[in-house]
Amino acid sequence: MRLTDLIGMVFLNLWRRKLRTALTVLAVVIGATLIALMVSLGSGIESFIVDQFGLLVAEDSIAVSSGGDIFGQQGGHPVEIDSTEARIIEPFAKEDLDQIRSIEGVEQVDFIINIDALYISPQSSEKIYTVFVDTGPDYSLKIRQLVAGGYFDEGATGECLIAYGYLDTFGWTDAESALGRQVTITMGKQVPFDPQTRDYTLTVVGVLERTLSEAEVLVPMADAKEMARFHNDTPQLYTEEQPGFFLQVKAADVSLVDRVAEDIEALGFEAITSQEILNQIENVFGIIQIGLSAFGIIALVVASIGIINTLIMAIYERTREIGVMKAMGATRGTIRLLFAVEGGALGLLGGIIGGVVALVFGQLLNVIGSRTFLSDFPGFQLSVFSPWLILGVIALTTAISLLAGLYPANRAARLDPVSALRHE
Amino acid sequence: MVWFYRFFIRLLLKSGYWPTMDKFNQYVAAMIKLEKVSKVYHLGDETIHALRGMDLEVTDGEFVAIIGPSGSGKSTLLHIIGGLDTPTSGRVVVDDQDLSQAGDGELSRYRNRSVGFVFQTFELHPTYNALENVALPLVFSRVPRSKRLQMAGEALETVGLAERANHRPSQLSGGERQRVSIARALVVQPKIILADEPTGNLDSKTGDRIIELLSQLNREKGLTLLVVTHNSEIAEQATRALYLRDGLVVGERRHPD
Ligand SMILES: Nc1ncnc2c1ncn2[C@@H]1O[C@H](COP(=O)(O)OP(=O)(O)O)[C@@H](O)[C@H]1O
Ligand SMILES: [Mg+2]
Repeated sequence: MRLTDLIGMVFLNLWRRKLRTALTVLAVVIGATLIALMVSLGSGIESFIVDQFGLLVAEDSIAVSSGGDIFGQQGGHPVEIDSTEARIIEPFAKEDLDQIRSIEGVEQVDFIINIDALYISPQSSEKIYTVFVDTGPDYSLKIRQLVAGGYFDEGATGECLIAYGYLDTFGWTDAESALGRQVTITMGKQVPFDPQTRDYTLTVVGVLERTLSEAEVLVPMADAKEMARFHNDTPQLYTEEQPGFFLQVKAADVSLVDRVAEDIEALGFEAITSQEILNQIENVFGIIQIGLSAFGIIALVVASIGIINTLIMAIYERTREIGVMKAMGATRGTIRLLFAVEGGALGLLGGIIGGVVALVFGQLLNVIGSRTFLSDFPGFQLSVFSPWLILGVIALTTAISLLAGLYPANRAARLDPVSALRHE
Repeated sequence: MVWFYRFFIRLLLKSGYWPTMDKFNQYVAAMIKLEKVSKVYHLGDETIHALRGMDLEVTDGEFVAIIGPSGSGKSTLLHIIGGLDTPTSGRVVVDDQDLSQAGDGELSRYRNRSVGFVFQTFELHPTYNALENVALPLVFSRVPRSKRLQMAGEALETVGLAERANHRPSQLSGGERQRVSIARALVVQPKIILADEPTGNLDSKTGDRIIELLSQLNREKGLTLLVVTHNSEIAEQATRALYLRDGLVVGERRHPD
């Protein structure tokens, strides 16, 4: 039998029972749509988070902590530990800094300065607002995109970059008009019963592009140190003698990041690279995608039972026809192929329709999203379809239904032609 | 060498010079040869002997009528000769091919190339038109579509239904449907046509015309023709009539010519 004849015959047979074919395909469509949509949403959100991360963190930087997990221990059940595990984590010492600096491939080591500001208020206003104050060395600040103004110099003081979100909040008409204005950041004390505060007035020199963190102010290192020292009542904090618990290490080249991180860990510190964080994000999203697709997989399993059922019905209906085809010279293999391909065709149709439905749904979600809750992030796609995803889903449904078609196909092939011709 | 004798003898028969060649012909060039063929069916505890050690020889170009009561094994005999069924024991040789030894592939090929079946209930595909129905056997021998339809058209012409090519079976009368199914049997240019009660579902006048068509094909194209029938008039037209009972040939009558 020629391939074109095979395909023609299969689709004619499906067409003869339109309603039944449509219902069987519908079940496949549901499974295919669920899988395609869930994976596309997963990859959309993942790529958004990865993009955001890339906007905030330099890829040649390594976060180093003096010991213990950088993310700390949280939650879970109580577990018995021994005293060595319960060690108090000590801050870095001057010698540690020297050791890290002497590792080959380390270009720069900076303190990670933690600033707990109380609030921010714009020039000549009584209103106060929440704020997250951050700082960093030049190279990691300069990956942040600006919509207006410029970066401050590494050694500068009394200047700042503000998040785009503050423009609206402060009632400033546009980014350009914010430049040169002043904001006041108020610091409190770490000790809760000390009511002392101190104001730091800074001049806005740049406005940051929109990101997920919209209440952010970036200040020069020198100002940041002042703020942190006041807050902690520790005038020597973030000097060579008291580097704190966290450091940011810059590798001389991106290709050296992994090796430098290993060398740092060999010294007994914890190091995590931005690539490792990205990998963890990807792992988490991989699991989320599989979890979300599980419903689609279940739907596909149910659909393949439907396909088996449909084909067995078709064999009963077409028993005499099978007998006649054998009498006309169709081999067992030909009959088997006819029914297996009929099963595969149901899956193929379901996969194609499901892919298209998911694509349309995804685009709809993108449009709705970009007009409502995602209007602040132009260009962000909630649902991301690669051609591979569509092809993959079609291949998956076709393969599953071809597999489902094998059992009925074998039954049809084994039919005795004489009994088939006697069949009522 | 067998083919040479066969060709030679056919020539003689056709020329009409040597009608008594029949016996010699049968000896030298049996188109169909059955030796002690039995077919046993098991239905629960019951054992049914459809054929009980049947011996039969049919010569190339013969028109054999097979007559017998219901259940006497007529259909079983045709199915075994047509390679649709295999005997429980015994040997079947058709056109020098031992069917009792053949596997599914060989049997399928044999059914596709060497024999044409005509059924009592026509067995046409309801969604195909007459032309496509006739072309169906050629699908399984991988003949390209255009060539296939051309050959089917010629076969339809042979049975006098060329102008009905685009009609579906439901748009045809019973007699026309049977003509389509005869065209379908002819399209592969087989040596043998096996017809199982081809007039069983037709009124007697239409049935007579179908038999006339078959007998004409036998005469003009030299096709070997085996027809199962209850109709004794049909038996009159055949070159030979076999009477079956309980899976055995119990009587035989040759046309006097
Ligand atoms: N598949 C089968 N299973 C059981 N018995 C069968 C089968 N096919 C035929 N038979 C039996 O074999 C006998 C001969 O059948 P068949 O050749 O169809 O007779 P006929 O065509 O002469 O009426 C009958 O008794 C029939 O019931
Ligand atoms: Mg019968």
